Amino acid sequence: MILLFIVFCPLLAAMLILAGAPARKTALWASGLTLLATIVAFVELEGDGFSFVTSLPISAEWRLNFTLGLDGLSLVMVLLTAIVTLAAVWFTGKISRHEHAFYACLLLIAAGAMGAFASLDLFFFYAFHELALIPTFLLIGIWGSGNRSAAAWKITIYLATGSFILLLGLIMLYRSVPEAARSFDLRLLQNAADTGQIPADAQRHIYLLLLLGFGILISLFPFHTWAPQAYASAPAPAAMLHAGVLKKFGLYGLLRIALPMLPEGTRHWAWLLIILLLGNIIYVGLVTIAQKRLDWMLGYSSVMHMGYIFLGIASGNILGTNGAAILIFAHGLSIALLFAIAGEVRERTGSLLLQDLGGLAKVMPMAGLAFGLGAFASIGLPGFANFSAEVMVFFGAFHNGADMKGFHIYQVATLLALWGVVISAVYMLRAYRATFMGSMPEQWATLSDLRARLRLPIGMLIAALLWIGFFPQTFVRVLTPAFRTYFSVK
Amino acid sequence: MFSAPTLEIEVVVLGLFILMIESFASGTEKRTLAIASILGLTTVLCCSFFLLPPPPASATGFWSFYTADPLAIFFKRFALVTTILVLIMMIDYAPVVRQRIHGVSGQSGLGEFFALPLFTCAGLMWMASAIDFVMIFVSLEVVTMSFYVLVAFTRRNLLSLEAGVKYLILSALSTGFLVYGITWIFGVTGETNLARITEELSGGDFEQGPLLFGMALVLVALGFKIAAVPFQIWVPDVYQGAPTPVTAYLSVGSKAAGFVVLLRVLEPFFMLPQMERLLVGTAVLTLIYGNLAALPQTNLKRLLAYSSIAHAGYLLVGVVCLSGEAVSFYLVSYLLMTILSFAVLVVVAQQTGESIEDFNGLAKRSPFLSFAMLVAMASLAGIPFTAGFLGKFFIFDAAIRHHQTTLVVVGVVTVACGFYYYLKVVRAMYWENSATTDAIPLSGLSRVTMAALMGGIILLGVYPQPVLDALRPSTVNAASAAR
Amino acid sequence: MSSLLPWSVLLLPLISAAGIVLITRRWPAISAFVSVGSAVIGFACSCAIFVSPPAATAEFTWIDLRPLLYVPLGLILDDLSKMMLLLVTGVGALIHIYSLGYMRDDAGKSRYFASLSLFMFSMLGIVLANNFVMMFIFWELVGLSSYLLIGHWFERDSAAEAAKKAFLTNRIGDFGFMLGILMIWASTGSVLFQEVASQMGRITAHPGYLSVAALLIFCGAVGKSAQFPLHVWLPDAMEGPTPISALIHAATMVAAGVYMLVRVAFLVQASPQALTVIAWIGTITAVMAGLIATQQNDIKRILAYSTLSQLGYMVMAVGLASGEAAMFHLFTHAFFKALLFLGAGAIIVMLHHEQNIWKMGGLARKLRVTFFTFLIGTLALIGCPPFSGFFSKDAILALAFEKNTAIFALALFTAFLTAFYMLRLVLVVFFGKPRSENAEHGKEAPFVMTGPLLVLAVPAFLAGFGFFARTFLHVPHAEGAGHLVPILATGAMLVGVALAVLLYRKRESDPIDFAIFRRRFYLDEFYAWLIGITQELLAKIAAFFDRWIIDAGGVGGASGATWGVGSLLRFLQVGNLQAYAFLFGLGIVGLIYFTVFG
Repeated sequence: MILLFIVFCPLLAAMLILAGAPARKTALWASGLTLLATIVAFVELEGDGFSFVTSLPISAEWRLNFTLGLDGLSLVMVLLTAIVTLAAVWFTGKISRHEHAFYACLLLIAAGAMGAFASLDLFFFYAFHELALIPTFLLIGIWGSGNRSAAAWKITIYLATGSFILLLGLIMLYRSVPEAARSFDLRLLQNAADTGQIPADAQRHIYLLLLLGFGILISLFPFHTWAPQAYASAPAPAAMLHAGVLKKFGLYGLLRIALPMLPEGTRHWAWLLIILLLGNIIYVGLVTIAQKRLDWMLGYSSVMHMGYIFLGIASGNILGTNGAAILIFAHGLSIALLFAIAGEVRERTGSLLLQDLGGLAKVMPMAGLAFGLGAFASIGLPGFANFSAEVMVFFGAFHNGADMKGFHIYQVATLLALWGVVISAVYMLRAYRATFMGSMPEQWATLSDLRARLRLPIGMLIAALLWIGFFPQTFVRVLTPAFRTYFSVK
Repeated sequence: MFSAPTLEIEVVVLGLFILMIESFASGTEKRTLAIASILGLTTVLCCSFFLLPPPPASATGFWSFYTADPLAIFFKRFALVTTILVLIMMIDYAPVVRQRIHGVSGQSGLGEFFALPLFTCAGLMWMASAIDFVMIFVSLEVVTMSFYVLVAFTRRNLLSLEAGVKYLILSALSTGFLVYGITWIFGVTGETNLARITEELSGGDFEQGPLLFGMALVLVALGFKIAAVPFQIWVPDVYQGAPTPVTAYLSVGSKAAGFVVLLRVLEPFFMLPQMERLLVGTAVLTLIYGNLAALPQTNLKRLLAYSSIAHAGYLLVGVVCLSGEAVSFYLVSYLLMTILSFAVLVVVAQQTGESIEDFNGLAKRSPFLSFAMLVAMASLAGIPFTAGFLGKFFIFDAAIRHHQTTLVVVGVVTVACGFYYYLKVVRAMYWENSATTDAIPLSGLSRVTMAALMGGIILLGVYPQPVLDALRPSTVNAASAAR
Repeated sequence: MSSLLPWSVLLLPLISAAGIVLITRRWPAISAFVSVGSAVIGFACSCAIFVSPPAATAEFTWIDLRPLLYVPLGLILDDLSKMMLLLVTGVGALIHIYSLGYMRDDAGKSRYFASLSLFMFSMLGIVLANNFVMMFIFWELVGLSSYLLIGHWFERDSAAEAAKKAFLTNRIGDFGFMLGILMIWASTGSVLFQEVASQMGRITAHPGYLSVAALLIFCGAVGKSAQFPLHVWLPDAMEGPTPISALIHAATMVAAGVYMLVRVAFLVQASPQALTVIAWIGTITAVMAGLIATQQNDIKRILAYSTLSQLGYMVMAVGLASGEAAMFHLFTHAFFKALLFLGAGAIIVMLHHEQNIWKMGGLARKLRVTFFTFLIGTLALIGCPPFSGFFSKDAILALAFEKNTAIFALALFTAFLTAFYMLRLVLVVFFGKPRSENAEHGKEAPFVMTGPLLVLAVPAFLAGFGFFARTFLHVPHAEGAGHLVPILATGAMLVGVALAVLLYRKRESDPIDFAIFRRRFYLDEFYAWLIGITQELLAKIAAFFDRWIIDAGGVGGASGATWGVGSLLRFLQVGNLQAYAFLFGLGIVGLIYFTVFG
């Protein structure tokens, strides 16, 4: 019941807004209520397996049911979605044209993400994500800035292709299970996988397809070039929602489907994943250093941080997966905050060229503080969720096959990833110094600080980051039951 | 209760009746004719739900070349719906016809314009039931004949005329090959009835060479109908030249009928290894040609022409897997989205033009039309929650089940291309800015129709069951299950 | 209740920082009061803890994924941490008070005190941490607060740069630290100091692995304690307000590295190779910094380099396997160096932020208290008996004398250098005649600033005596060395003093000029160049590659190719019928061929 509310509240709100309800008010209420419901669900969630399961048969022929349910992992995702959605709606400033459509798009993205994270059915898991993509394209294409047409175009083609490849992988997965056990229901598929009904070679093929499909959606190196451009020209709320939430769908998919159902495939392609994720961390990290615009820098940094989440996924033990899941949450919040502030700055200065900016903390102290906190969170400073997550990721990855004879692939990967932390500090601090510190060009002397009531969303994001930073156990407790099964099977 | 054949007869009678009014009550406003035919067809459609059960399959006499199995009934209805929609489109198109035919009266020729589709429809319905080569040939000709006229209908328009000529000659060519092929097959098996041919072939004692030769010739003709490479060559020009409703009719009606026949004809021959290889090759070529050639198109009508080739490719994938279910569902979705896009095109083209630039900023000029087009394009591209997506889903599903790896890979790549050129239209409508912003008029009837089509696309996108049920129990299904 | 006392010491500053940021941001006076209050109470509590240490302290779970990883947040209370606790809170409290005067009319007063409290929190965290990860957490937090405080005057480009430099340099050190932690955890299965210590057997089996791990841990110290080659950030850190330089960049934070090394002595002392490296790093730092200090003209920079060189001593002691000696020097150094910095601060304020010693002079008569205390600090620093510095430095020298003659010689040389540049400083600043407008009219600082000076002067003088040495830590009595070492040390010191007096008495400008020392061995330039040819260049290449090869080339190329094929196919549509019929025919032929003969 509560889960149905969580998934459909944004959807209904979007409909209402399109029907002419007061856009901002409705959106705020809807996302606020959703967040409350999610928190309630978080408190009520108990034990192993899925809670709040509701099911509705669609096609007996295809054994297709519309099934929703939550376990620790999906709940963390839903929580992330709820928080970021509220923040994104809140940060939405004045929309000059089609205000209703804009808010509706935001809520549709939220609804799609919610549905995808909460679906226990392969088909709807996929379809909801697609549903969320379209408003993203529209948001960038219609309300974007800069070369929005090109950006929207690129992201559309990339993600459409990616999700189609993904679809194929999913169908093959569905087919690879013998007729008797065949179903779209994730739980049944999981059982089939656990009882070894998915042949090894099939696993290898499917995993590759899934990695490719999800990888394109997550901007895995070398399929990442759509991300910075899209985020640079997307309106801030859209960037927040996509980089913060929707992009995480792919990672969730890997954690929920590829990892547990295709152990053999995971093992077989580990080397490939490691190489690619190092591309994300080191190569993209270097690219980020060379960026000259704040928004592009943020876009690339979000691509880079995907590498750490991949590292957690690749680590192949409960430490790493826990870290990955929490890092998804942490990165979602921090990058959302950063994009939000960057958007506010762009609204005022009209340019995010680093060399034009400087010393803004003097005129926009609140923005400076918020951005600083976001930046330090995203470079994994202790106290923020990102750090606790990265610690688990590093420990998990390093643990894999560690002996005292020397360093093997996982240890080397961890070493390079650790160096990536230095790299990320370099570009973040540079950007912060160039934007908010140092002497200020006089033309900015008249800028105004953030609207006072934006304190709430900022505070909310920071508070969530700090809470998980100080008490990661809050999430570890709910995540562990979900992940235990992954590694106990083998 | 009616017997299945009466449906065709009703349609023919309706057509004659319309012509009568046209010639004797010449004063009547021609729109009424269209309305009349629409109403008539709707009644027939209703009748199609009260049919006597057909006699057992191994019957003789009339029932030996005419079947009323679910697939047939399904496609009869399909033809009827298509025709109705086309007629509605034609009403919107009437002004263009008027200005392209400077006849004695303001609206001369419109009568035929509204009547001819009825005969085509009858032909299509026959085709759906034809299980005997002779019957196949006849019904096919009925359809083709009426299309000769329709394609070249706006005869003062050079493009249209040229298209008519091309269609006439090339299709005559293909028909010739069809007859020739049939004779060869008859020569080998001594049969024209598909069921009996099957028995003959299962007997196993026959010369393969001649049989295959005949089959190849038959395939030429069918390939022409469904616009499969290498017999797609006529499509772009003819589609672009023909009056838009006729184009829609061509790309949906005759293609659908072609596929039904193809499914029926292939059934006996599928035990031959060459067949599958041949079809796979054709499918791959068609997919690649249709999608790649569509990429650089700037004229929407021409783009749709190529896309219809592309979709023929996906349908062929379904045929290779001999999955009547997938093919039929795909055809239904194809009907909805193609008609919808053509309907929008008809309206918009009269205001601005047929090229994609003419759709720039349509979102501002007419949110409804642009949204309809958005739905159509999304469905054509195969975005989830649309009928088009499920269509592709079932097709690829079948392909994977039959381990047609090549087809799957090519399919995915071409789908990516598809995203590109379909969404190009969406981009034009939503992201580009138009010179003018004055609204585009839209008749109530078409508005309702488009809404219905959109509804259908989305409904089937989330709840495919009705269509799947309508096909069961189907002989083609049984066959595919047997393989 | 008593088990919560240590926690309250740790959390008080955090609460005050949070309170300032959230509530009293608008009212600087209250913020200052809150912060100072928290520091003073903290000091009181630590005294209480020192006198009667609680039996056990509460422990909280941070991450619990046993059996793989268990990270608690727990406190460790042994002599080492108790002593450090006292030191940090004590000096900290004094400097809080001093700041009241120094930052009286600063725009960002609230921000300053919030950061100061945050620093206290992080520093105490390092002191009390009972496991590697927790220590790393506060390790980085200290880095953050130092970043905030160095960059306090963020609108100054130099300050902004210095803050960034400090943080990044520390990050490099922390990179090694974390890796070391991972290696140790991977081999012992725990991050708790005690458990690791008990599991050492597992690692010592692999000496190579062990020394790598130990050295990686040492990297952290190299960064935090500004040892060569990561020392470059400390001098620039003087961009921050002077109390900060005194507290963070002299007394406590930079000493954290040494403290950490002593805390994990069981690890480093298990690996002789590691020890040698550490000892030599310390020695190099000591000598190099001493040499550079002789040619600096900014009063704070001179003190900064002397700090470096003293830290070198401490690390050297650690490398010579005597944590006690290191801690002893750390202990005394904290007092006299804080004293010196605060003195310098008083001078700087009174001279309206003039920092160039050649613009001062003759201040001895004007700033009597400052001069008097500064002198005590100097004497302690140069190790003049019976000042505290003499004893602690003597302990280290004796150690070196026993263990390694080369190091001993260099240490002695450093002692000489120390005496030389400190006397140079004193002579130029306090004697001769005023060399600038400001110096003319300089006058004594208010009591809120001189008070702490006087208070600090006491331990700076006495802290070396046996009583302290015994109560707070167990300094080894250097056997065998006898009286030779003290005599040599004092001799070196006197030579330095004599030389300085000879050269700098009544001078208007610097008589000697060693460019290489003045330019700090060109190390900053070298690093700039190094980063330029590695990171920056790579970044540019990568960016180019991304923009033109992957994006334009790969993706663009692929789509372009398909597009091209598509437009080629268009040419099939020539439009004339004969051609179509011909193609049609071809198609048929092909089809038949495939069917019948294929």
